Amino acid sequence: MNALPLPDTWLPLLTALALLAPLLLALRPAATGWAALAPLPALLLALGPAFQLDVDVLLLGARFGVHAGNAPFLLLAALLWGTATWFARSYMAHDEHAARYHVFHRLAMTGNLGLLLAQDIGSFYFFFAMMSLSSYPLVIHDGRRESRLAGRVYLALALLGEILQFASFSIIAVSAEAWTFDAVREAVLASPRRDTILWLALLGFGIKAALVPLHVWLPLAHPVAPTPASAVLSGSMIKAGLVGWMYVLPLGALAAPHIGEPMIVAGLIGVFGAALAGVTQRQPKAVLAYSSISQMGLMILATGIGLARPEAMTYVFPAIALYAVHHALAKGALFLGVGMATSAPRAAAGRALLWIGLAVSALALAGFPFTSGAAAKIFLKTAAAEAPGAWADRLALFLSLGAVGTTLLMARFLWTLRETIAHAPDADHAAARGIWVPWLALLALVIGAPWWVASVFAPEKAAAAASMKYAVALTWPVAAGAVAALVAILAVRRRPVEVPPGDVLAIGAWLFARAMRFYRLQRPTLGARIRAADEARAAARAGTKNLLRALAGTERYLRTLGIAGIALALLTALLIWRLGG
Amino acid sequence: MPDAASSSIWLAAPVLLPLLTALLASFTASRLRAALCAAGTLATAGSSLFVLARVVAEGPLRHRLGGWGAPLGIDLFADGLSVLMLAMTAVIGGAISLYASAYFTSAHERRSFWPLWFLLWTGLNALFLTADLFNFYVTLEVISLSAVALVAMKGGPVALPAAVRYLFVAMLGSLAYMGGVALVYAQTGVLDLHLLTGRLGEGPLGRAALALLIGGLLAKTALFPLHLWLPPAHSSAPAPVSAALSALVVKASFYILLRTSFSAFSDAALAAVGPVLGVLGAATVLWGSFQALTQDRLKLMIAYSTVAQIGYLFLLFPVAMPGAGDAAWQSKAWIAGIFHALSHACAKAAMFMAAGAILHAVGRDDKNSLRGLGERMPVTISALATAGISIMALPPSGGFIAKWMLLVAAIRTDQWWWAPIMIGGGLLAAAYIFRMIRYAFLSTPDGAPPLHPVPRRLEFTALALGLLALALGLASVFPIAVAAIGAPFPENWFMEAL
Amino acid sequence: MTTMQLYLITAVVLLVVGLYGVLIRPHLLRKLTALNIMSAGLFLLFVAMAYRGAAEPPDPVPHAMVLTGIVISVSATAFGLLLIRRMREATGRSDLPNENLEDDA
Repeated sequence: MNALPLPDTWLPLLTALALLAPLLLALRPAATGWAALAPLPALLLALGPAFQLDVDVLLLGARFGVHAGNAPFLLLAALLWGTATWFARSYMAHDEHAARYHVFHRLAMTGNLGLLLAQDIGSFYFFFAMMSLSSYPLVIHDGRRESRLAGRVYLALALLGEILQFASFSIIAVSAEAWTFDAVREAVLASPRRDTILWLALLGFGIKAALVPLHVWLPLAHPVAPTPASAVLSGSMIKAGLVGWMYVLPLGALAAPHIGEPMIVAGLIGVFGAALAGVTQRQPKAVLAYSSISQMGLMILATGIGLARPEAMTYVFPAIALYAVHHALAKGALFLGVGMATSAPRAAAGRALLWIGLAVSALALAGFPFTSGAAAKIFLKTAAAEAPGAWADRLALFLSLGAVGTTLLMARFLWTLRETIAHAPDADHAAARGIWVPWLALLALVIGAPWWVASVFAPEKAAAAASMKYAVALTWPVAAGAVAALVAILAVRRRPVEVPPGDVLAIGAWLFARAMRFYRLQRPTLGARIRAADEARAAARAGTKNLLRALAGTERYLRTLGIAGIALALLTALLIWRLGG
Repeated sequence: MPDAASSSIWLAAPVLLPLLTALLASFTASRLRAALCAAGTLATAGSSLFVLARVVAEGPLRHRLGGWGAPLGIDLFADGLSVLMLAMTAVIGGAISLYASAYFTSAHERRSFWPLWFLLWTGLNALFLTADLFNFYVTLEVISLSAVALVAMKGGPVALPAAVRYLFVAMLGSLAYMGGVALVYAQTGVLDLHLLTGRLGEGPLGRAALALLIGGLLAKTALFPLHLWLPPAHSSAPAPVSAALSALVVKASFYILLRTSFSAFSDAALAAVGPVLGVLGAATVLWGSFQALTQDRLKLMIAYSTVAQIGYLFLLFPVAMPGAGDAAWQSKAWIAGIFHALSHACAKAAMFMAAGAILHAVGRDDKNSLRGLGERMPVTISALATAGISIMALPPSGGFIAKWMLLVAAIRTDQWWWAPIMIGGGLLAAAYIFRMIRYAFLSTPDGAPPLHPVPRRLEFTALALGLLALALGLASVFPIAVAAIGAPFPENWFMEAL
Repeated sequence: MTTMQLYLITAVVLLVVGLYGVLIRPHLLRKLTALNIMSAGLFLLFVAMAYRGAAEPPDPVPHAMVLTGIVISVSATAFGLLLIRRMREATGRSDLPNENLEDDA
């Protein structure tokens, strides 16, 4: 971001270090403090000048680089990974599988930093896959049943995303012979199969970016991972999908309202749907996961604006970048705060500090005046004002309502966290002291870093956001949310309903079960219903079993020598026939 | 193929050295044998790499053994394709020797393994240095018989029926191939590939000859539906043998088909046969992958994965055949097939070696036996994972480069219908590998017995090969340049494809 | 019927009879014998091919190939016999079980 005047000769070395340092640390899984410094080269690169580095011998020619488009993302990733790794060192010290955790934590870090530095299809795809796949052991780390289930859903969707990405990349590479992202965006613009590529990229990256309805894995997977992993999953890795869009979509050069406007709608559904589902959650980390979907909805709708109306990109990109930095740091601090709370500081001073820190982060996320969230919201509103047609007016209101939702979510989060602490066993976490420093460092970043990024992008607007000018506009949604939360707490002593994490997936499974039951129902007595449900389940299981048996049976049939000999004879006859014709 | 291949006696060394080692190893006492086999491994691999260096420096080489020349004498011939296969055998073979030296502990096992292994190596090297239909038959027989014997060396009610079935299919395939050779000779009067250029497949006799040749080779390469013998044999053999079979032996018959089809087949014949081979290859990819997906034992899963990966090799024929499209893309598909053979050899050998280490440590290889191994045997699981990346064809692995080039060539020659097979095969590979490897990250079951200590050599040899499969993707330029030496496509196309 | 035709017909009959035995008869010894019958048919084909008319001596190349083929066939048969015997000792049967791969370890 041109803040550090690094000499040109350092840049290749720093790039190599940025990729190799976390990778090499993964080879020696000791809980060393050095690991927290692994993202340092990436941080320096993010702050340094723009550059581009071609490495022709790797793959089909690799290119790495930093430019205005990826520097903010690299900044947030380096900061969050650094603090989370520092945190993990003490936090995981008493975990019996700590070594395994550290290995995959660092591999995922390599993937995350690498995909941000990569400027060609092959390296990007490689690092993306590395990040996605290394996160799987993080998700199932504690080996509980729900973690394994979450892991399975996560893996299935991650692989589906890989396939969609691969499909879009291969169409691009084949039809336009484009390999670096500069060329890719031009190729997409000129491609006769432009819409196919755009849709594939939208869905392929949408899985990671929690685009509704591809978000189902997120509320399952983010909460079950160990706390430092949840922080980087929800803060940094979730942004990889967004970065993918920035790299592949020819934003600012193409007007594609037929894709941009559905993106705006999907983003809005995410903003409000996740807020509604989130307030019913009982686990603080599940509330935070839903909040991430809600916040990503804002960034998705901003991307949609840019795609629908290219002229808006001047305002849209700074808004997305700033929002990403702000959300990553604040969400990271909140997730790590859950870890702090369950490691239970017993001293009153410690508790007070913890709650103050959590409140600051929560207010920042809700966009309270003078917090980093305020700057992010102001930037976003400027971008929304550029939305095409009638969207501009509607979005102004929706954004404020979104802030109400976020405030409610934050209130719900603090409430559930309080309950969790109250019921937590008396934790005697010797590590507790070692996790304070990284958490406080992250809090300092939450308060300061987004403002700095804002002032780099647009100093006047940043100054305006810090003034009293927007105080009222920013305060009322938070106040309204707080009142609503208060009313909810007073009125609803017992929650009537909890949306199961994984919402659509769970609801889909439930509907399927109902449908099966309905289909099977002859006499709707309770006994018959239960029997019908059992039968449906048994039928499904038997179907799978029959399929497997058929596969194995056919294979066994093929294994007899006679069949093979006849197949050989028939094959020979077929070849003779083909050769004749 | 250029006729002006220079003469070089060095070509005989990669055949004679392992043969000598095999003979000596049959008679020497056990202490001496260890040193002998180490020396034999180094000499064989070294001479193969030396031939590679000579071919890179001088272009295709030819040597007439005893000065007889065709048709009666035996010619040794080496171009880029043969030295790549030779080098692949040298690297994987060296790793197998290293692994086996720690894997086999009883005197009985060592006495059976070493002579047979060097005999197999002799057959492989001789096959890769041959350019004559009848000598292909002889070398293929040496390979088949020593491979069957290696499968049978473990004995017992599983390995022996597997070996018998393997033997019968191999002999049936040989007979078909031999019948083809007879008809070729009846029609043309020559068997040397250079003299046969473009002559195979004309007339009724030629058609029958070609069909028999191909049929026999398909049975030996285990293409669906003739794959019956492969999973039982590959999964029941000892780990170093499984590695050799899956990585090298199935490539031998494929090599014959690749070499003959792009030199001796007439253009019309290749164009007629290409799509059939492609369809069978696609069926093999799907069938092998689905079967791999239903296996509960690691070694069986790996064996079925071999079936699936063999299928990919045959997708090159319809894309690279004459008349398929732009010649540059044809040559790219041809290279992609060779590259796939190389990277699959590294990855699959690594997987079987890792499975051998697990079997050694836990005593079983069903999926539950993998529980907790992510922490208890990190090196082995890393080997399995890195090799898996290449099988799944994720970048930066060699498998990725191969499938990527094939995919691009298929779409560029307007045969997009192979693309879903390739992508779907990769997805299925990811599914069956994760289905298995997932267990390594679950916690160790309570009361699990302690692991039998595993020699470090087993684990690290597997890991080295897994990493090599990855590295092939990073350094793909050299193998591609070597394959271009004497390739059946004009060279400027390769430069363009690079 | 010329001598050549007689040779060819005999060769084909031997090949078909052998193929039937290999594919259909379950006992492994029969299968192995049948394979040898097939080989004999094939060798006959080679030998017949060497004929170049009454005036010329027969072509030596097919003869050389048949000799090599016989050597290979003999060693493969010997090896096959040993394998079948070992298998019988290990499993107690002389035909190929359609082995269930899940059972073993």
